[in-house]
Amino acid sequence: MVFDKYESQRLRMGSILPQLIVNGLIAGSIYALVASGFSLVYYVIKFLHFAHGAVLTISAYLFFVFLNVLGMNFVLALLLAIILAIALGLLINFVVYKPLRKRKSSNVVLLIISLTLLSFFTSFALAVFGSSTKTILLAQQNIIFDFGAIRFTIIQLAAFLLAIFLFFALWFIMKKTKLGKSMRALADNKDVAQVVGINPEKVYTYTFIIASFLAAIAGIIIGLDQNVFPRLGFNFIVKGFISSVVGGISSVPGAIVGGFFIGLAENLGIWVLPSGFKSVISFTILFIFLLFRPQGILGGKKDGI
Amino acid sequence: MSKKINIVLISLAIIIFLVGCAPVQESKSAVEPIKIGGLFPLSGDGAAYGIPIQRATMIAVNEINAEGGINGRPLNIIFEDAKCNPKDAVTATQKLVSVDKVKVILGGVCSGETLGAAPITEENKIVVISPSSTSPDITNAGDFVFRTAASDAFAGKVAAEVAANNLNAKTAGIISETTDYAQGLRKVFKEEFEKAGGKVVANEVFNPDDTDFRTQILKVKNAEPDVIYLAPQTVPKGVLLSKQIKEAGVEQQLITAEVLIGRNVVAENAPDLEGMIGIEAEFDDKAPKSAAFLAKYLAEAGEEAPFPPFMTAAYDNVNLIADAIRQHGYDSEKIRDYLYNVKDYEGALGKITIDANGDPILEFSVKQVKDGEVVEYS
Repeated sequence: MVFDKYESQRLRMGSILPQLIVNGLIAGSIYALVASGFSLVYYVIKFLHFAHGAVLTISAYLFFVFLNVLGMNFVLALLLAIILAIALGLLINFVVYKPLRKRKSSNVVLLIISLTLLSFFTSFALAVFGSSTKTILLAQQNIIFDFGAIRFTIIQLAAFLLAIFLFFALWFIMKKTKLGKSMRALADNKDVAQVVGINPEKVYTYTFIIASFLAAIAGIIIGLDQNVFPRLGFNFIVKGFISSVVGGISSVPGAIVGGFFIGLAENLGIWVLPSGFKSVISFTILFIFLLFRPQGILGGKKDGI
Repeated sequence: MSKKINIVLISLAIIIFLVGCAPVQESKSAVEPIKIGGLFPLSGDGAAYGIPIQRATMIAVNEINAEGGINGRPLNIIFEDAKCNPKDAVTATQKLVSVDKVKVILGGVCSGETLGAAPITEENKIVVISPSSTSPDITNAGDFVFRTAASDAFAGKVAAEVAANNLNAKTAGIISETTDYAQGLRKVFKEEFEKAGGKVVANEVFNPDDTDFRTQILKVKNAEPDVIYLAPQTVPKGVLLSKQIKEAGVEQQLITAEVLIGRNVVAENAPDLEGMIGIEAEFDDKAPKSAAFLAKYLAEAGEEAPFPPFMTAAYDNVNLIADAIRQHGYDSEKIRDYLYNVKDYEGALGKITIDANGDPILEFSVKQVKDGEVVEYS
């Protein structure tokens, strides 16, 4: 009897693999969305912008408020949430980071400040919206694609397609546009870039606009898929950070590859290991990469692509 | 020049230091308040319990103070954030014990908090009384540790009985969070379910920081259990877990403890929680004292009380401690003895009797979410 149970379970394992990969890709898409903006800021300005997590949290809450509390339509709520998230990103840059950069504060100071901001906005969300989880109600959200062996929701499909699209879009921006070239020039050598007429602050502003836009997209997707709660940004920025390092912190599209890598490794890993090991898997991968391939999967060419 | 500035700066620093160290002068006319510690999760996921329970505590405190306090001295609760984990609970407890020198601590709320605080409070002979820590380990946590929440040793047993007897389940899957409270529930459920002749075919856990449980759910689904027992520590994780279970197309009956049948939790997340069976301490919201408390909470907080048993327990704990101090003075050993002798105390929670382990003797009731409402399970 007991034997039968386990035997049938083993037989079914093969049919479970597709769903496991889908789970990995879903998690990976979300990590990739978080990692891309975080990685962009690191690449251009060279500091760990953990307050990126704050923008994630706030954009998810804003979207929830616009859509469900104020009853706006989907597109308007989405646009407003994105615009306000960008405003928040810019505000953080102008009010906090810029004066510190002017004062030539070290990266450690910026790191501490960014952690403080993350903590501040997490508590802010807790104080304003309360500790309870908010479920974003959207009729279309419950559309589930069921192909027998695999199931996923429309939100998860959107996350996946967005992550793939962003991979190419970021590659294009970094490689082909004037802005991308300025970013790469600044990342390579700030002083020389200034000599040839690149205004760092202007490029940094654009960097924060793009990064906060990415954070807003990620925050809203996470909110739709995994609900909105004050520690949302806190939890995801850690995985985003790991993904960026693994994908190659000196490569912006690499962050997306890293996201998928971590998502797949975690989900395939806990099929074999006890599920409590999930975070252990991603941190172990981080250690392995830091020790043996610190430039990450796509890093190494030093040109941000 | 710069030397001068240095001297000025140093003297300023010394002055600030000295002023900062000077004891705060209390106005002489005021009577010295009775200081009691409050060890609650006020931030993070655990704040979903901590804040409502803190409000419930304050309702009792304000009532007592409005009537002139205890023997003329007002109650003053010093709240510390224990963040629902033993590590922060230890820091907070040390502060309450050595800086504020309290003799009674209300809380912790999460089991991990109470278990983290217990070694310190035992050593210093400080009474700890929790309204909501339900881990079975707390029964033996110490002589000065009390609670008015029923041990999960019973809650897990009732869940296993419902699964085995009412639902005729032969196999069960378990998904639990890696915290003291949830692991206590998991252990008891597994033991009791197996004692009843059932078999646990999948036993998955997740960490407090996880938000993606799909592969754990997939493993449980793949084992095809008759029922699935969920033991999340906090509301956000529990809600997310049930949402992802629905998305994965799991059709088995879900059973849980009290976390997911909190009234506001069900109201805000009805579609994901529909059909869920939950077990909570028996509680009669129509009893006069209970109804009065709930009405007062609604008026003051602007929301229905989310966890009536825990919150009324918090309210009763303040009154029990106040009674003890009124009768025996602010002496922790006498308060301890008073608490061991509590029998049929008429509180907002119901009739409270505390046993020799500092645990309450309570009944359980089985609830189910039906059409977005929490109703008696039948």
